Amino acid sequence: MQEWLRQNTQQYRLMTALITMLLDQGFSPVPTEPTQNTRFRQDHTQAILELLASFRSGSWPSPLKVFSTGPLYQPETLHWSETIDVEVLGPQEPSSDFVALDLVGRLMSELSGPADDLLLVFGHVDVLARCLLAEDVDPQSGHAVRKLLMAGHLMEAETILARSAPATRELCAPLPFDRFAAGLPAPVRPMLDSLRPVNDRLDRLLTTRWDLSLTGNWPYYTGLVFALYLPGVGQPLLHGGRFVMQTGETDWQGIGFTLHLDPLFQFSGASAKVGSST
Amino acid sequence: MKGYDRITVAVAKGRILADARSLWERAGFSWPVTESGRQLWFPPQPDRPGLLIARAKDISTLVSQGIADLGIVGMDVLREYPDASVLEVADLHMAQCRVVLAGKTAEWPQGPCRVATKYRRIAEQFFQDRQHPIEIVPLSGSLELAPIIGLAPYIVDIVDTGNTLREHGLTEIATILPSSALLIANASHWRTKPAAHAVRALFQQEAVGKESMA
Repeated sequence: MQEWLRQNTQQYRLMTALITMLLDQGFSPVPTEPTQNTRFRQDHTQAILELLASFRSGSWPSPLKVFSTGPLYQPETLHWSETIDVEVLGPQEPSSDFVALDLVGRLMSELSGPADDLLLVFGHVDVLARCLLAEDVDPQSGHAVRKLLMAGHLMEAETILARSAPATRELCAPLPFDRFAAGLPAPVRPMLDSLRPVNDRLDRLLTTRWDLSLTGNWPYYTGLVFALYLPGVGQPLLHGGRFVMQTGETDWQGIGFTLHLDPLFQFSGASAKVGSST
Repeated sequence: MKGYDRITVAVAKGRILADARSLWERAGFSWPVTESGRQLWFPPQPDRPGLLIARAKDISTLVSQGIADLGIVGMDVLREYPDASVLEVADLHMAQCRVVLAGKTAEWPQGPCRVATKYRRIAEQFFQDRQHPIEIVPLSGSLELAPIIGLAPYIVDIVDTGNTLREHGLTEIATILPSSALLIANASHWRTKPAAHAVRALFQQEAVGKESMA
């Protein structure tokens, strides 16, 4: 029992350390319900935005930085996982992308210091669509490719790409920034140039890769998507992306990510930094 | 150094396991399972990945949870129990079969009807696409008995040669899903373990080679 209580204590220390870091970075908590429309919550974003949309004054700070805590339900596996969801709301792109990704770097740095074994993989659903257009793939087929990738049907997507968009197919594997950028069609390359500073900054803390087969779990993603992996850990430590979503009469733009506490706990390994701080 | 000793493959019991052995050996790996043994877990070795033998329904769980890096399981099972957190990375062109609608005659059902199946999701989607009302009778085996004993006039089941259907006086009405064994991958391990890609390349090469010879 002692070991079980010790592990629970460590996990709560990790959670409170992350929440403290978010508060220190100017993020405000938004309490959300674990059920939405009589279903268990699978995503915090919509619940956060519905709550915020109930304030009609419109005088929000920009960017609006919020977070929500609590478990998410995965219906495929009937599994609950403890999470913290972080959102940077505002139209500014790429500056709010920088805020969100800078926060990822700070959080990981606080938990462990520089960690070369951490792999931050970026995808970009808009870059994917433009690459396909550049290879004369019609938008309907491009949409079908994205749907296949979102559903995890990599093999079917690769088969279509190999036939109709071989250059895009080559970008569907984790590649370093420069190799990825060199493989992009010339008209698309400027989109990535604007993200080079944030890539370079994060590359100093962890390893970054770019992979167009990463499209994120949700259909509302419109641009940059990302997932943080640790070799040997079977779930991403965090994942998220830039989105556009409408709730009621409010159109939201922003970038967000979900921190998964179980794999993060494995990563921190009850590290001295978190575990001995209290 | 290919890093196979850091890869574990979960393989579905039954027909897929027999075909997987052939694929495994053609890929140059030693097959660790003995005829008389009841062992289900064989840890990775420097010259081959680890092997985990489990029920078909459990393969995607083992892969999505990261217990296994790769899995070999039928497409029929993946469509019945979809899990977007695993990646389908190769068609292994083995254990080929199909999910079919069958009944006592080849005629399409007239009006609302009962359908016995262990593929509830696949059957519901198939009839929903055709806007045909049905009532599902969930069964886990011996489906071909359902029309004979009056439980349901139609079944949705997996068939290979069709012999079992014929032996029970049943006829295939429509093919719902052609199925074969797929290689699936844990998304995290897929992006962090290059050896998983090397195993896929070996399996794909052997699978495509055998398919083109057939």
